Amino acid sequence: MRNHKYAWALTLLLAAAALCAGLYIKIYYFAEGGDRSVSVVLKSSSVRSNFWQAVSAGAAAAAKESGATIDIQGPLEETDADTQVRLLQDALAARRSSVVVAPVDDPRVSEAVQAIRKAGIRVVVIDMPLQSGTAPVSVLNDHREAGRQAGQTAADLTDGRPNVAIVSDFERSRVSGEREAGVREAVNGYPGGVTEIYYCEDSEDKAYEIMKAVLAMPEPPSVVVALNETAALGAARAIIEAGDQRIKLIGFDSSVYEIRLLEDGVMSALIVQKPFNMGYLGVKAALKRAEPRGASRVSYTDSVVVTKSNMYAPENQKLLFPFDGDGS
Amino acid sequence: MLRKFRPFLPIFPLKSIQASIAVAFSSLILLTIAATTFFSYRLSAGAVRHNSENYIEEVIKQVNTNIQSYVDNMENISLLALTNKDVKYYISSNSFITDEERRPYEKRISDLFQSILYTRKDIASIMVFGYNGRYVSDRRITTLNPNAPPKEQSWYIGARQAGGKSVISAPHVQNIIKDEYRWVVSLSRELKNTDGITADGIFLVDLNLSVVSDLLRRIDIGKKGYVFIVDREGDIVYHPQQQLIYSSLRTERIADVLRAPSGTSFAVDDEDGKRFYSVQDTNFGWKIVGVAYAGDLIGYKETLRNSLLISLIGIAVALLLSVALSHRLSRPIRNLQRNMRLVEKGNFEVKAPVRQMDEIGQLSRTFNMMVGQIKNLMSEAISTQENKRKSELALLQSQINPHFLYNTLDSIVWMAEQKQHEQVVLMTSALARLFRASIAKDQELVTISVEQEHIRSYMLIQKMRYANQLEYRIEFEEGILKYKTLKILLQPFVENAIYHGIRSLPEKGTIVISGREQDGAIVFEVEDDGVGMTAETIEKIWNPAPVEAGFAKGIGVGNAHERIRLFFGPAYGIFIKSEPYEGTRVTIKIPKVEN
Repeated sequence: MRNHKYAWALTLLLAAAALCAGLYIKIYYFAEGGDRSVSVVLKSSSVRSNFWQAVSAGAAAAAKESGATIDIQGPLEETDADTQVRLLQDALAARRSSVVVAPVDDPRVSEAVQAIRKAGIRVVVIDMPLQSGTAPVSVLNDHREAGRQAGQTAADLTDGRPNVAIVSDFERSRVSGEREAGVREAVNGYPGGVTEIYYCEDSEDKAYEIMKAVLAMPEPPSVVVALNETAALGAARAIIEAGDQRIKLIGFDSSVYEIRLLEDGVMSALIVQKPFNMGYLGVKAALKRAEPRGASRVSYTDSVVVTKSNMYAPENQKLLFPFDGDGS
Repeated sequence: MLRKFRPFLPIFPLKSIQASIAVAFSSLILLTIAATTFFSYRLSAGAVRHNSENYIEEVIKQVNTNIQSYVDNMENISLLALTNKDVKYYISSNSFITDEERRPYEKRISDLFQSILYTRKDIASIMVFGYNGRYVSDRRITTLNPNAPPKEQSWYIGARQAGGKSVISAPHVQNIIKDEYRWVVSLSRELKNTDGITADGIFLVDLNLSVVSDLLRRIDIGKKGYVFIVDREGDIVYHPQQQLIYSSLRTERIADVLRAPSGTSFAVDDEDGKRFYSVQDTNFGWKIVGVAYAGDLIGYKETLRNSLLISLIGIAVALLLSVALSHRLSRPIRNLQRNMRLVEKGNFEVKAPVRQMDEIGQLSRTFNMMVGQIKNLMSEAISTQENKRKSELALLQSQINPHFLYNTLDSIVWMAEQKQHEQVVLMTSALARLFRASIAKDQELVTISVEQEHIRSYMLIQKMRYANQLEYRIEFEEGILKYKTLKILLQPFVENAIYHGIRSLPEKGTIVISGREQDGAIVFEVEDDGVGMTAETIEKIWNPAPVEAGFAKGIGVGNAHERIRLFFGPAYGIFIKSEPYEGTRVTIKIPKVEN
């Protein structure tokens, strides 16, 4: 019996050693995170688009942090669904471990994304949700919240008596629709509210005409919220021309032109999104193996209200003035 | 009653010594390798860590030197402006230069700035702002941004407060020139009047931030490593992921960094992974921090891979070695075991080879001795048994059938009454010869001629008794007479032939007794043409039923057969051939035994 105990102890030792070796291998191979790779398909890869360049930078930063390889692509035009579908098909063929997509508003894009999901590749949607189909894990721009921020700013600028006119682009645009809903939500709590909505159809001249008409009104609204850059620039032109700064202008997004208007005081506030964060969080989510139990599948990136007084604050400088030579 | 549970009951009891040795060796070697690998890993990990810390420190020093050189350069430019007479006169509060005369001054200063700018690609702009409201830049025409008055800028305020010392700003967007928004690092400095006490204005030189960021980006600290800069207050000057930090999506170990003295490094191990922070102070208040991830460093990986490979090979070799060694070690034991099995089967000729006088050798030697002794004891037992039987046989054969004696004596008496004197003499002398032949007790073997004489005498007596029933012939080859045979070998068979074969025959029977040499052996035959025997009867002769007490019928065929075999070996013996109503032939085969 003593001999048997001895043999038994030895067997145990042997098993333990084998286990250690196994663990060692496991730790070694998995500590490196494997050869994870992520394909990012943006709405636009244009170098002139500060927004998408910032998304791209954020995505690259996340990939570097996680030690994953990344491939960022996108059509030149934000509405080029054909190219985006092709890029998604390429991403599927490349068999990356995950794909991040900022979908163009088109059913074919939705189909292409669902095809990738069916192939067992982890998909994360950023910016806007898919037009159709079940929603994968998403990191979205909260346009409604941005609209709410604009509405709140309008209320603050008018001492709680906002009388808001909205200049949107198209009636069917989902982004503008969300922003408009947000503005209405925020403003409706105050006396005044939203009086009118205009559609400039993505034309600066048309926005200019609309603003001129608004300025010519006998009782013009106190605040105009322009839901995108084109509308804001057209409206600002009319205000400068009229030399009448009684009407506060609130815009979305940021460009050099809008910044200048903000500095000049023509524009009272800009609602600026955080594209870098969106790209970063999108890739981070894509590199996760799965959602923790009970975690929300949809998360939002916030936006900030930038005014003349806080535009040169360190945190806002980075948002407003993209720095090419910089990671962020 | 409950059965007692036995602790440490083995899953598979190791039944062979080889397996036990193999397991022992494997465990020992595995443990040794595991320990060695662990310690060498620890040691090399330490070395790698040390090296990587040195490396990062070197890199950060290099970065420091580079940034310092940019700042020194700006400093030099500021000194140039400080000492420039034109600049002094131009911004002096009690300037003698009237507004009408200022153009040429402006041009000369601007030219100076421009020429500096040409030689230095890293400088974005150079400007001077006099407290008298005048300003000059490196451009011909300078339009200031109406929304950004210089007096309100932090670099302007900072320089005034510093009182003649140069002030380095954090990277920021320089917006004082209309329609220009450039990321720069500014050096600003208050310009003193010729008296050295009162101040006349602020000098500003901007360094392109891209110069710094390019520098930092070019640094390679593994795949994930990076460099960031904080100022004295712990505010981030530069960080590759500044936006994430502002959005609280990322935190940086700023408190630890501020606490760390220049030129030191510290390790951090949290959910982001193990990494080393290396801190270096610049002499203008920035802290440059290099961050390297432990898993990222090349040497680390190599060490891991190598030690893993070596330990795997080691384990494989260890297992092979332990199997081979245990086989080698247990071989003598297995040999001994095999020999023991042979002995078990009854082979006592086995001899275990004794190679070395180790424990197994001693065991083998003892085993050999034991087997030898057993063998001796066995042969002794056999010979004792044999001797016993031989003596029994000798006793048997020495006994003369008393019936035969009575009958013979009866015959002699009867012949004497008939006055057949010659016959009496013949028979009595034959009887005397017979007795002489059988009484030669001292030897077991006699020559065949003696045996022939014996059987002749015997037949003479029997012929006289059964004159009407018996004919006989004795035909011995002349050549065999000199060889030896067992004493009184043939008589029992002749007796049988007469009493069982011929006597009950109605007419006369014939017995032929012959002896010859055949195939190098001696063959005797006793043949009669009597009643013969069936196969069952022959069987009964070979294995007679237990003899009843007092009814000894002399020496049986089986006994005779055994006697021959005991004496001469298993190749010899008795063979009986018989047919009912045809006769019987008994063949006795013995070897040629020379005198």
